[in-house]
Amino acid sequence: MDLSRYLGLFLTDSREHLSGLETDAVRLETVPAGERPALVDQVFRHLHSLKGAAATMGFSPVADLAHAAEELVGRRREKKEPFAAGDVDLLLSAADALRAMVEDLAAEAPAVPRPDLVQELARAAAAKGSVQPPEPLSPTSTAAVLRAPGAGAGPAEGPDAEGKPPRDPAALTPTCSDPHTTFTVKISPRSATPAARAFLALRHLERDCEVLATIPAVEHLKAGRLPGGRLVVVVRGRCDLEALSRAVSRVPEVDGLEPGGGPLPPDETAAERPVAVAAGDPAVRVSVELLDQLLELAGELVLQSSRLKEAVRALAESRRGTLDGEVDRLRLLVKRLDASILTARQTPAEHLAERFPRAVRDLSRRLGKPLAFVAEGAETTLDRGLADALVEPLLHVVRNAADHGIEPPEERVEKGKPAAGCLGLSVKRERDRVLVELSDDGRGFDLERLKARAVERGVVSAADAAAMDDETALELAFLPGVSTTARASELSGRGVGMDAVLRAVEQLGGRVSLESRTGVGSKVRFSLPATVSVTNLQLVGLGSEILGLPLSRVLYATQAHGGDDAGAEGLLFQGERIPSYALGKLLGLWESRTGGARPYLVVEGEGRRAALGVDRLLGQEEVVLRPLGPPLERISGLAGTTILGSGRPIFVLDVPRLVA
Amino acid sequence: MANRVLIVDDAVFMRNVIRDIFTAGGFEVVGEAANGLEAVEKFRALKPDLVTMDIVMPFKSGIEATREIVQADQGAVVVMCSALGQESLVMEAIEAGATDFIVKPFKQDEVLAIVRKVLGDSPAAV
Repeated sequence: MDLSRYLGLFLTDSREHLSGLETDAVRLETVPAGERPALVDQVFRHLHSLKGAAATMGFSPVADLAHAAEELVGRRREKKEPFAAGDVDLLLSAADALRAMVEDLAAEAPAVPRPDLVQELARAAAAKGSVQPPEPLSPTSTAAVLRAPGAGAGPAEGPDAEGKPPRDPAALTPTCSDPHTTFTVKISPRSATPAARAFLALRHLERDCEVLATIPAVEHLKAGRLPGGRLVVVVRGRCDLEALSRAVSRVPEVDGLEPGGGPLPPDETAAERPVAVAAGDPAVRVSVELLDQLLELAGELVLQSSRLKEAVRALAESRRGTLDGEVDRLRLLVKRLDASILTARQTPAEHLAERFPRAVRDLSRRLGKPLAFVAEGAETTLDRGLADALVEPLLHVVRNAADHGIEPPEERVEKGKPAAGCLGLSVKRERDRVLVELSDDGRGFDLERLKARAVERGVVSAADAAAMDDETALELAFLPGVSTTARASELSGRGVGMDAVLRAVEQLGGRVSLESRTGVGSKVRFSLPATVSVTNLQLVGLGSEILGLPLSRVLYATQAHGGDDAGAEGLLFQGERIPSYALGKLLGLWESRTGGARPYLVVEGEGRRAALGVDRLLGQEEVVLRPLGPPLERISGLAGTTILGSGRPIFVLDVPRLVA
Repeated sequence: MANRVLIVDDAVFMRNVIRDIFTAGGFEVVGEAANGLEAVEKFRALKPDLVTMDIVMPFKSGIEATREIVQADQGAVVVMCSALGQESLVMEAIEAGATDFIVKPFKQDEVLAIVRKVLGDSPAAV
C-alpha cells in the first residue's frame, strides 16, 4: 500500500502533536492539581494520534515509541498516580526522539528505532505501578514484581532495574503491532457531500469496531476534506471485510469497501491545498507562502488605486463626475483587504512564548540552577514570520542569561534573592513596532570584565576603557569575541551571544539594546518593525527633492522661526523645548533656507522627539515600502524607497535612526 | 402501514415540497413544525417513524432539536435537510445523533431512496 502521498499531511500533523506534547508535558509539573487530569488527557491524545498516524503510514519506530509513551501516560491516568519528575523527563526524551524520527522521515531517511527508550518507558510505566499501587503492600503486587520475566531484558540501568522490571501484560503486545485491518471506504463520485457521507460511514463502523486511525484524519474529514472520495480506515483486529461492508451498507452514496489503502487519490496533496471554508468552520489552514502572495497582491492593489486617484485628480473638475467618490470607496476597500490579510498573518505572541518553558526547564536541569519562566503579553499579535525568526536569537539570550546572568542558588540566597532565578519574556506593540524584552534577575553584566576583555581583544585602548561610561561599556557586549565569563561554557559558549543576536535582529530590521544593573539583573530589548506593508507617509519637499516620513512617526506639523539648525538646544513647540534640526543639513544634502518661518515636523523615534525643518509640506500618501538593497541599505537614516502615485520614486526616512 | 413522517422546516415552501415528495412516496405526513422547539414537542406527541429536520431555524436549531430528540428516544430516525456548503453543520448534526442527511435541492427519487435505506436500518420500520 503506497501511502507516500499522505506523507506531507502526516509530517504536519506529527510536528503539531509533538509541539503540543512538549508544551503540555512541561506544564504537567507546574499546573495546579485540579487542571492536571485534563492536561494528562491532552498529552495522551497527542501520543495516541501520533501512534495511529504512524502505524497507518507503516512507520513502526515512531508508532512503537509513541505507543510506549502513551502506555506510561495511560498507566498514570488509569491508576491516578502522580507524574514523577522522571516521567516528564522520559516523555520529553521521547518527544525529542520522535521529533528526530519525524524529521528523518521528512528528509526521506528511515526512522531509526529506539528500543532503549521504549524499554525505559515501559520500565517506568511498570515500576511506578509496583511502587505505588492502590494497595502498595499487598502480596500479589509484590509477586507480580518478581514474576515478570525478561520483559526488561535490555541493558539494565540503575539499581531499580535489578529486580527485572515488571511489565503490564498490555505493554508486552503494543497496540500498533496488534493485528489490524486496513480498508478503504469509497464514496460515490456523484455525492455532493462526500466528506459528510464518509463521516457518517465512520460513525456506523465505530459501532462495530475500534477505529485506530483514518486518512484523512477525522479533524480534516470534518473540515470537509476527502481527496478522491476515499476514506482509509484502520481498525483493531482482523476484521472480515464483508461484516464491515454490512456496517456501512445503510449509508447512502457509499460505493463499497475495498481492502487496503487502495489506489491513490488524484494528485491533490491535501496538506498543500488550501481548503475552502465551509459554513461554520472555525478555522482553516493556509500556507504562509500563500498569505505572502496575497499580501503582495493587495500591496499592488493599494499602489494601483493610488495611481488611479492621481489620474482622477488630473482630470478637470467638470469631467470627474462621481469618479472621486468611487475611487475613494475603492481605496477604502483595498485598504481593508490589505488589513485583513495582514491580520491573517498575525499570530499571538504565545506562538513565540511557548517555545521557552521547555528550553528553560532543560537549562535548569543542566545548569543545576532552579529557574522560573514568566511570559507577559502573550496575547499581543505579531507577524508570524517575525515570530518564527525571533525564536533563535531569543533562545540565545535565554541561554546566556541562565548561564551567565543567574547566580547559583546558594549565592542568590546569600544575597537575599529567591533561590530560583527568574527569566521574563515580554512582548508588546508600540505604534508600528514590536518590543520584545527578555529580563533576568541575575547579577547583571559585569562591566569591568567586559572592558577588560575588550582591551584584551584590542578593540579599545586601556585608557579609553577606563574613561568609558557604563552605557558605552555595556555596548561592548555586542562586539564579537567579548565575553563576560572567563570560562567557556557548554551552553552559551564563550561570549558567542550578543554579537550573533545583534546580527540576527538587525537582519529583521530591528535594533537591540541592553540594560543592566549590577546585582539586580539585566534586560535585553529588541525593537522590531511590526510588519511590512502599506505605510502612510508624510511627504516633504527639500529643494526639488521629495522625501517621505512614516506618518506613524509624525506627531504634528507646525510653523516656526527656526532658520538655523537649533540642534539639541531645540526650539519651543507647544510649550515644549524640542531638539530641532534642518532636515537637509541632517541628511547632509543641502540647506537652501536662511531665516524666516518654515514648516517643522515634530517626530518621535524610540522615545526621543525631534523637530525637523523642511522647505514644504506636501501632503500624505499611502505607499508600499520597498526595502533598500545593497549598497544603499548601509546608509543610516534611510528606511526604504517607494514609488508615489504620480510615478515618482522617493526615499523614505528611518526616523528613529535619524533622531537617535 | 405507511411510515409516519414529521416535517420540520421554517419555510412554508420547503415544508410543502417535502410533504409532496413524501406523500407521493406513500408516506403519511403526520405533522409539521416550523422551528426546533416545536419539533421537539411534536416529536414527543406524535412519535413519528421519521423526522426531516432543517438545520438553520429560529428559536432552536435543527442540531439542538436533534440532540434532544435522540436523547429522548435512542431509536429516533432524524434525517437532516441541508443545503450545499453546510457540510460542517451536517457533521455536527451527525455527532448530535442524526441518522442521515439529504441535500437541497431535493429530487424526489433521491430523497425517497435515502429515506427508505435509512428506515430499512431502523427498528421503527419493522
